[in-house]
Amino acid sequence: MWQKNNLLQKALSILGKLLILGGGVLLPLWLLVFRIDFDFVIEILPALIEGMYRTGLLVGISFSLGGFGALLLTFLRRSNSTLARSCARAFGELMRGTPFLLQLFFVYYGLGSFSEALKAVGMWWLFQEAWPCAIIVLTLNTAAYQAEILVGALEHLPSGQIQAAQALGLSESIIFWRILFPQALLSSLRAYGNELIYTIKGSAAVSLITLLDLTGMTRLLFSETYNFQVYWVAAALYFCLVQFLQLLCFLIERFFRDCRPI
Amino acid sequence: MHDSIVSLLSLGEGGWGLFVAQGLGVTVILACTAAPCAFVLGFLLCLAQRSKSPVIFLTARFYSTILRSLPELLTLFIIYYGLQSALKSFEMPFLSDLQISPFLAGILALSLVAAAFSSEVFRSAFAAIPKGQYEAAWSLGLPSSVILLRVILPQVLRLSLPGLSNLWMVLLKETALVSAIGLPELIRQTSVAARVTKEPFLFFGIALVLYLILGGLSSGILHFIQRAQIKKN
Repeated sequence: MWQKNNLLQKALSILGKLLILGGGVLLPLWLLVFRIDFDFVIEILPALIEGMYRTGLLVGISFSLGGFGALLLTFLRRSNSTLARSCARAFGELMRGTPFLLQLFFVYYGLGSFSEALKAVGMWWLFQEAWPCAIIVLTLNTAAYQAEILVGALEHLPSGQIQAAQALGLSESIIFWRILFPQALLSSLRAYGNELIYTIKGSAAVSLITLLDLTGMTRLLFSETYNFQVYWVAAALYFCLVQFLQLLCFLIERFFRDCRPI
Repeated sequence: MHDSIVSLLSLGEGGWGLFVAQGLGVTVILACTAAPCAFVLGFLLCLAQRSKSPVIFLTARFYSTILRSLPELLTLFIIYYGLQSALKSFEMPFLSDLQISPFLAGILALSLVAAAFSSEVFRSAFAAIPKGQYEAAWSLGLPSSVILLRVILPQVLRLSLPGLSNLWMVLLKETALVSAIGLPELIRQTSVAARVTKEPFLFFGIALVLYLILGGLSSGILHFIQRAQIKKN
């Protein structure tokens, strides 16, 4: 009896493997790799690389500006004033609780509809074009997430650190900048790397307010050529970008491994 | 001013209340349909990644890595336009006439991406289960399917509850992207209303508030479930 059962199990497992091999590996290979039109790929590659450059620029600017924003939010979250704390928390909830796409629409179309008032304040140039809007919203969005990382990392530092520093008579600012902040940064390296990758993936939504980043460029080229390979090339570019950044984060993390505080 | 806002949002003639509410309903249905599919698929993907056979292991790993590193919007476009052109390319009478609806494409894309992420959640939950649990179940002579379903699975589910509730919140926000392929969900409906009435600030503001309410509601429910789970043990 058990032998028969065993045979059945073996047959099922072989069948399953064949199915996975066929459906998961061979069929996509046949659909993708063997039907690639290399001339077409080379033709569209420069435009896609240009789009990738725009994605990189957008994310680079927003992520670094967002770092400063996160620092500001962290100060507000750690301040003694209840009002400042609850404002920073409410901002974080708003940014992390709603879709990035909706925030983009709200700022670009919603605030953009107050053109008269904005012209009066001299801020119209910021909301007139799609690029500054995308940078503003992405910066605010990633600032909220980065602040969450930083606040969490600061809270997890052992309280003995602060007590020891206070016992040495160090000033508040030195305690923060020379003792707490570097350790918090080190322990949140991985989280920062993940946040960078999420920002890149999220930035694809700016193509929906007519920006030609990598996704926007892909949509444009597809609507012109109706050749679906554009999407595969774009996917490959995104994949390489994300994997490269992941490798970089891993290397940075390993470089600082010996300095890890806790 | 106040009268005009009230009449814009009224449910009756000339008001957009019902229109926006329909969008809200589609968003909720989309998220509630995609989440169970995603978690089941993610569990299967996790089992495949624990498989000893290199073919299954590598295929599962490959798909989960790819799905996790592509932007959700691009995945959605690839599934929506790709499935359509793939169906056309078969050139068979029945298959070529099939149309992929935005709703189906949205569910597929969202649940595949969330499945890849939830497989990671399940993987770390599996890693947290002590080896003694398997050994004890083996020594009782339980068959391997019973060990998986009755001994390991309940513990894995409990351990992965925080991660899964996080994923649910992400999924809820990602439904916004499906508006890009024309599904009449919350954002699509509000942007139509905003364009027609020329009140984008009002309508997108309402959408923001609705998303915050949805998020608050689901985080309350998830907190309740987690608290009940902790109490039970």
